[in-house]
Amino acid sequence: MFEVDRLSSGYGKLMVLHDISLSVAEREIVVILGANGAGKSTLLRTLSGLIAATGGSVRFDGEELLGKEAYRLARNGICHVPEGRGIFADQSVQDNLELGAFGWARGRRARIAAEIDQVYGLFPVLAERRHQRAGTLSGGQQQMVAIGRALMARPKLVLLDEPSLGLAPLVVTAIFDTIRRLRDSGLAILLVEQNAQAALSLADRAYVLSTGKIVMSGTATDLAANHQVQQSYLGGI
Amino acid sequence: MNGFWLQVLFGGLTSGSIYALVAVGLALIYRATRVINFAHGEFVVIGALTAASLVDPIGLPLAAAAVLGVVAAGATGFLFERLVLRPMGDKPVFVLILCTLGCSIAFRGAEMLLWGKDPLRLPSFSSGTSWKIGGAAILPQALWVLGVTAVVMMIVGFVLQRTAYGKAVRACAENSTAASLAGIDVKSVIAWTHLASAALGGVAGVLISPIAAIDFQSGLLLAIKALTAAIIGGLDRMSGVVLGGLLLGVIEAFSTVFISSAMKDAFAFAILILLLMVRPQGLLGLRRTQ
Amino acid sequence: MNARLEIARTERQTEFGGRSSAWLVAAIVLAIVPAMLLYDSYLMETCASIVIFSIVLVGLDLVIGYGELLAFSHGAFFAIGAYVMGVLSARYGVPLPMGAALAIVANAVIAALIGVATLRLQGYYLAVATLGFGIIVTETLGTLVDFTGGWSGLRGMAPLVLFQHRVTEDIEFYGIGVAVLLIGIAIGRNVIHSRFGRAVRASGNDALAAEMLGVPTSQVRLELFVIGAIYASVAGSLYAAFLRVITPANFDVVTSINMVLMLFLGGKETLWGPVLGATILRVLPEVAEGLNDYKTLIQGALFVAVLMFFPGGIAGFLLVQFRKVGRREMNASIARSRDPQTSPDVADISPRGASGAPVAPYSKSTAGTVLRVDGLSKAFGGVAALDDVSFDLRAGQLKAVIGPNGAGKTTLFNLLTGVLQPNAGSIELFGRPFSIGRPHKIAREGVARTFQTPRLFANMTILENVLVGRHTKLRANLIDAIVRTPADRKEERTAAQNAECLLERLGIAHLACAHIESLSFGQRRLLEIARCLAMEPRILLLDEPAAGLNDTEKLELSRLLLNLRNAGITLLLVEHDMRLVMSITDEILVLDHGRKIAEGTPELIRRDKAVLEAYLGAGASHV
Repeated sequence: MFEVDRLSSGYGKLMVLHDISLSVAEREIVVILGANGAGKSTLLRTLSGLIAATGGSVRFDGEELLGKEAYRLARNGICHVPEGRGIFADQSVQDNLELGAFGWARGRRARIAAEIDQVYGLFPVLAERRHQRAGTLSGGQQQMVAIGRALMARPKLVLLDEPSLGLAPLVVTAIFDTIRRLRDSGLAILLVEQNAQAALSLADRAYVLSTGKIVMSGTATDLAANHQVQQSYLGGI
Repeated sequence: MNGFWLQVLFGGLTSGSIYALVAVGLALIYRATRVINFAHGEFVVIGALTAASLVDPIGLPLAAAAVLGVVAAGATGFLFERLVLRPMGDKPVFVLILCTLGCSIAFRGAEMLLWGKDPLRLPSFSSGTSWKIGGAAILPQALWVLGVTAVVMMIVGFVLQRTAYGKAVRACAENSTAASLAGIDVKSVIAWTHLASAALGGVAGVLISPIAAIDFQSGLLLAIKALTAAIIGGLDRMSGVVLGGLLLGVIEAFSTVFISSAMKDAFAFAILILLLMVRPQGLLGLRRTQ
Repeated sequence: MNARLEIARTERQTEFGGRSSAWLVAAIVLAIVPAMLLYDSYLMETCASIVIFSIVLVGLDLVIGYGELLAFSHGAFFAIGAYVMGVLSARYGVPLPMGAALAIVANAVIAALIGVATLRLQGYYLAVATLGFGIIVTETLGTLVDFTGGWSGLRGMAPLVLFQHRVTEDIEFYGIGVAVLLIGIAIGRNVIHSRFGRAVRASGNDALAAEMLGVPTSQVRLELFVIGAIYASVAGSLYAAFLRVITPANFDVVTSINMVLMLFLGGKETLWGPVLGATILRVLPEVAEGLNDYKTLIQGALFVAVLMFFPGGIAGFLLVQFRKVGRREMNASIARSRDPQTSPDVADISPRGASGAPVAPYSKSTAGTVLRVDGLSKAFGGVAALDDVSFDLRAGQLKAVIGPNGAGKTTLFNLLTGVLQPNAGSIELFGRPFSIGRPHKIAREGVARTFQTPRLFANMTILENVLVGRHTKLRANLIDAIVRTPADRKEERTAAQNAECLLERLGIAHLACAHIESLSFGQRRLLEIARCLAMEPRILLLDEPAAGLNDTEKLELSRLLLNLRNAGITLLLVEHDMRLVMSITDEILVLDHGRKIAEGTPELIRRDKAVLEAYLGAGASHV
């Protein structure tokens, strides 16, 4: 469904990604592992159109997406939950979720309300705090707002950048459960995660990124058993 | 005697409305992009001078000239964003202040070339002599100023608070990356906001032109005054910005009576500096924790 | 090692520009002289006014360029310099030189008052407040007709008499102007490369980080502002003597803005660049007389174009060209000297005194509680970030604070460094009650702190970053900086050697004069720690030091932290990496939702029920 072919990109003259090829199918969680600075976030930022790619192609249901701006990709069903969550801290939880629907819902209040209720069904705690300023929520709840807002855009593919960052393990478990449920409901998910052990237990397939290149790929179980991966990313000393 | 004070108050509210209109335009851009546009006063000048020159040498009817004046200001604002601010991208505040100040100077030069050095005036919107209210003589144009300002403010308030577009503006202000990931076309939201903001400046110019002579030099001081008004009221809240504008007008009117008309700007800025020492977030602004 | 240090030193000289830029100024000035000899007296007049404006601009470069304070008040100070001298002469017969001296005093006082009122503000607020101040001054000058002659101008100033010689010719004013300008540039250069100058640049770049290193940023800014006003004052007095008749319109807001235009056109942060800007802006209209009507438009457009396309101005453009050549040579010499055998031993950047000997661990008598926190609470808008937290930190301890995000760890750090004021509770530092006030005072007590993402001064070299850390240990004051006393030179030398030693142990001494961008993330983190160590702190607070580091770097970090503790520094760190925390700390404090839920040795914490449930989650026993 989502095919990336020999993608390269970077910041200005600095090339970060070289010839990245990967794919994500429907109902699949694909995780991207890699050390710090390997280019994981840059990859997601390129895929969601925040950074212009310098070469390669990105196809989504057969349609070429390369060169489109981020808001167009979001309207086309690719939603990126950035590192650090990127919620609108000064606005209420409800307004944050409404803004997620900005691309399709102009004025269709009833439809928005229905979809917001679905998000509240997924994260009941947000319903209780719908009128609270999003910035006053705890880290885990903010992550829920970020994911919820992405869901409001009716995505087919969700790009998640380190959803576990800075969260306590119990909260991480809850967030990962949600990701699994989203997959089961039919979404494709591309996940970047530092917490390799947890991510591999969640994912179907994985790619290992090192200095901007894909150096390994396979099913999550294979990679989890791979000695080299264990050495470098799972913290075996 | 009471009539005299009422008249001073009324005069203050009239110029205060103009400050408020200009300040709301400034605050709108500030909200969407965190940029303060020191060239904003030029849109007032362009609105006023376009309308006036369309009436006088060209002979268009007043209403058409007024509308075209507002359109000219809005279009200039739109182009200004496209040609200057957008390419500047996310340069530091420092550079943006200087850049908009530079644009203000460039606009001033262009206005001088287009309209000359002498002030131009629009005729009053409705003829007739001043009305007597409670012993004060009120110009009909002053009522136009107050009325139109009130209507415009209500529209602006509604759009920002209640519509998806208003929420999108606030989202862009807070985190433009996240806004674009939420499917908001940040560039076009910002472009439209600039157009609206400059048009508000144009409205102010057209309204004030029959009362106060506007020339090519008026823009910079107007922008600084409007910013002063916005800061006095609190930049973060539209109600604060409007209040600040009205307050500044009234303060100036009374300081003209009590001190000297030559010192009214000095007095206004002295109040600004004092206020910034005591309450930097403005009268209605929210106190922020760093 | 010696070879590397040598390179570092020579690099520093080229980077600072040493004599080269002084020559450039001389060249520019000289270039104008033939022009005026060949042409008429009108051009001479222009040259004199260029030089006088350049004097203001040097001061402006210190304030706006190096200090990053975008203030538009220099036109006002320029006016005050002119008018105080002018009015004293025209109304009271005070000789001009004495009038100029009194104008400096008046300007210094006014600048200090305005500075106190406005310098707390930043960005737009500072800009509009100082623009407003400029308008206040011109309107006041225009209104006080009895003293100033109002808008029609001040007449009747006595001519300037120096050494019983009446100065009347334009060329004489030009000569005086050049002399003052060169002195001004020399002083500016000394100031910028002094302890004070580093404090100025640090405060401009990142005030909070500077405060944490013991730099009193408000005071530094105020002093800088006054220095800038004095430059403007001297220039204003000279300008008045030169013009003989002055009006408030000579000094209005547009003049202020134009001066900033000259600064940016020429190139800020060079001191000599503005001279170029002033020259171009004054000469341009003379060259193209037919363009008079377009002057304003062209000036404005030029300003915007420079900002958009040449942010470094003309001088910045030239410097980049020079440096390209210089850098190529430098890289070659670094490549030759680099010794492949010696890999840096990062773990050994333990603090040493000025003599280079290790600092002795604290003796038993000082051992004990260095920091006592009692019932500390802090709420933001009704939400409690920290709620009744008490703990002790004993000398030589390595303690970690852990807890889920939002547990109040960073708030705790901000309270301990004086960035925030607590709502309730008390902090005792070294047995004395915590001095509530500016954070730099707490830094001076010996508390250093790093940030979650390193906050280095991007406008300075790596060596200078470390030297800012040394701020509290140096004595040089502003006078030392201006005249470069021998004692000051010696102190600077020792400090630089000291800093180089620290960098040497980080393995980045060869980069001492490079800018921050050339460092990797891990190196940045280490540099930030090195900068703290230059303070010779007694307590070091580290906010997530392992975040963003890879496993090798984490290992090095834990060795470094243990070494620091062995050297006698008390350490308190906030950290998420459990493996690191469990392996090196003596004690752990666990926060959850702003409350302390446990405190004790790693073994104890590992088995604590409350901690397991709240923080580590299920299956934590094998962490």
